[in-house]
Amino acid sequence: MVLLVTSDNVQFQVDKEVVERSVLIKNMLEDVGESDQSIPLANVSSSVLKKVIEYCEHHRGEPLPSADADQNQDETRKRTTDISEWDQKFITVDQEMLFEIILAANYLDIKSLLDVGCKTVANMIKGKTPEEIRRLFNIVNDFTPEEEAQIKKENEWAEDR
Amino acid sequence: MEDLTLTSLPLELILKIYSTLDWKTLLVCRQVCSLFRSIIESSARAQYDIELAVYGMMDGPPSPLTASDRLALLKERNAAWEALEWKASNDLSMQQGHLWELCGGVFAQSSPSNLLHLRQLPSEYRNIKEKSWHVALDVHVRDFTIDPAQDLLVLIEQPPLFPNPNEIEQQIRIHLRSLTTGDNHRLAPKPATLVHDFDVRGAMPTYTLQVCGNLLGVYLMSYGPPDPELTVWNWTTGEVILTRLGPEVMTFAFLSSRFLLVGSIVDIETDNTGPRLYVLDMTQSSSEKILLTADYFCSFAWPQFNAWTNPVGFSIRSDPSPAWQPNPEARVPFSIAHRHRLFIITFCVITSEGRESSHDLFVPADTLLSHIEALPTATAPRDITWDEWGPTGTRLMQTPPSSPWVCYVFGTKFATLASRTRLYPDTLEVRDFNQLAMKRAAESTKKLASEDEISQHVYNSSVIKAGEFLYDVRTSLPYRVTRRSLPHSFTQHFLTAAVMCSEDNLILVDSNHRHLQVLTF
Repeated sequence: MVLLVTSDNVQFQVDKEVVERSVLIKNMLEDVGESDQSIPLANVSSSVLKKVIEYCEHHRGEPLPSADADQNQDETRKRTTDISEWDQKFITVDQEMLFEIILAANYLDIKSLLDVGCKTVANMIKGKTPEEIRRLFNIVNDFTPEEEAQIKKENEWAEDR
Repeated sequence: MEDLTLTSLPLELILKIYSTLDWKTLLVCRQVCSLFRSIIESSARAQYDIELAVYGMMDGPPSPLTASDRLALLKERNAAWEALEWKASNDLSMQQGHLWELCGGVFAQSSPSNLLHLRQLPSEYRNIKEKSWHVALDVHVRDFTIDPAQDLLVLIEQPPLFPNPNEIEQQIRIHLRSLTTGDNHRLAPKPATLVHDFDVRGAMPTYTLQVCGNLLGVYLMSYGPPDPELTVWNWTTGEVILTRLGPEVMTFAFLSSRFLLVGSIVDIETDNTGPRLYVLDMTQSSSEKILLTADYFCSFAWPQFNAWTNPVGFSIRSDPSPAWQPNPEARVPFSIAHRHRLFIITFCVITSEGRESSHDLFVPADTLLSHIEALPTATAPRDITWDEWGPTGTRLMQTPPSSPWVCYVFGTKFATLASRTRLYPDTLEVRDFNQLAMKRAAESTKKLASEDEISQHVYNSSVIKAGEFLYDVRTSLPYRVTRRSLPHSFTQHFLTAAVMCSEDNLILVDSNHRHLQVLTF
């Protein structure tokens, strides 16, 4: 068992096998060796870590992507935005939590969870107009009307034939 | 914690999200806010994805080249093609009059000594080295085709000229070999030979072969009986996917891994004497030998012919096959995307005055597929009239009489010769039907007001006056035409007879058919 301590000082006891899905924690454990020392996670709150552990528990035993494969995937990224049913359900959370999970997955270096998070955001963006995207993500339109007209014009060639 | 929003994510994570978006969505995101705009405009990956889509290309396998290296290469390459500025040229001689094939950047010729000479044509921008090798053939070859991406060599064995009269039906043997070694292909069934019943007694059939992924199409035509027939196999299993026979079957090409195009003139149903392009659904077809019109998905009609017009020839050309992807070992940074194909459908007729006339119909795969995809499935075959698809979705042009150098198309590009003096060909002409690249270029050149002399967009309609057709035929699909003088190094020694086109090369053919010059991009 590994003892994790969150930014809001909550302690989690987790199986080594589960928590090692995080490359960051795996490396930390390798560095400290066998010890009862707790691992502080200053960037992750308890509510987010709970979700992350839930994810790692579910995917327990699945092979970790190798560092090599990781790099290859980055180069020939497949544009699939398919997410498995369980992951889909898992990631159905409010936007703030979604972004928290993405940040945590990035910090903890859990590639598969980061992918699920990013794909989810991509799926939310797809098929929407710029105005719909702004409304969905609460983004301020900081273009002047002239700039906006200009960009729209620059995109005309790509509109449906 | 502060309100966490999409825009407050670190830049690397926003880029990661963008990396899963398609190019159209990227362009929409560019309109959302100035942060998104600047991220997309400064991301090599996003710009590369947009550039690939515009030029109908797809990304290649991983290599030391980064997205920004690839983007730079892609832009340079496209600019070079648009100006017809090749980077290198070298000579190639033809073997003494035998079979040849140009496919997937490999030029193959058979020689009388039963050797197959192969040459990988080079590429400057995509870094492909020229390479030649040969394969010894252990069968007497009547015809062949190649698919370098799958290391496939398909050989049609010459049937015996004086077959055993006791045998009722003759068989044609199709051998599936490795293009590098000539041995049986590792994915072929065992034995690696497809045996096909076809009565060749007294007939000297001609063959047309095409490979599309695991599909092999063979069209057999003889002057006189038996009737022509077209068979499509899954060459990896030996299973027959479909067979169509009858004089209506005149030419074929794969439109996608699912749909097959078959050109036909005789229309039994309506007695309308115009050519028609039948679309067969290979996933729904029975392997029984049936007539073309017995089972088809839809058809595309030509404009109506004059009653006295006599059709004599019909052929469809397109390269590479729709399922083509380059051999992963070639490690090219990018290559032509699947849907970006131009079909050149050549029609030869004898007019009512007894004159021979030929025209090419230029049809992008998109024109056909967008109609097909809009059709409901599992209903009766739909016959699409010329007015529905032709006038805006194609270009019909009068052409000189056909030459045997038929590999004039690759992707959406078509290469031909032109003459400024009208004495002999002195100009190279490439027509590109990539609509998206043209639309984008048109947006940006509006400000420049003038187009250069080398390259022009053609928006005017082409008109073929009534004659072989019943009415004037207008077609208006835009295309870009680029012209450049033939290289002096070639014209000072040879009279140019034809030009062929491959992914990174233009190939000039001299009129004695002995000498080729390969221009490399």
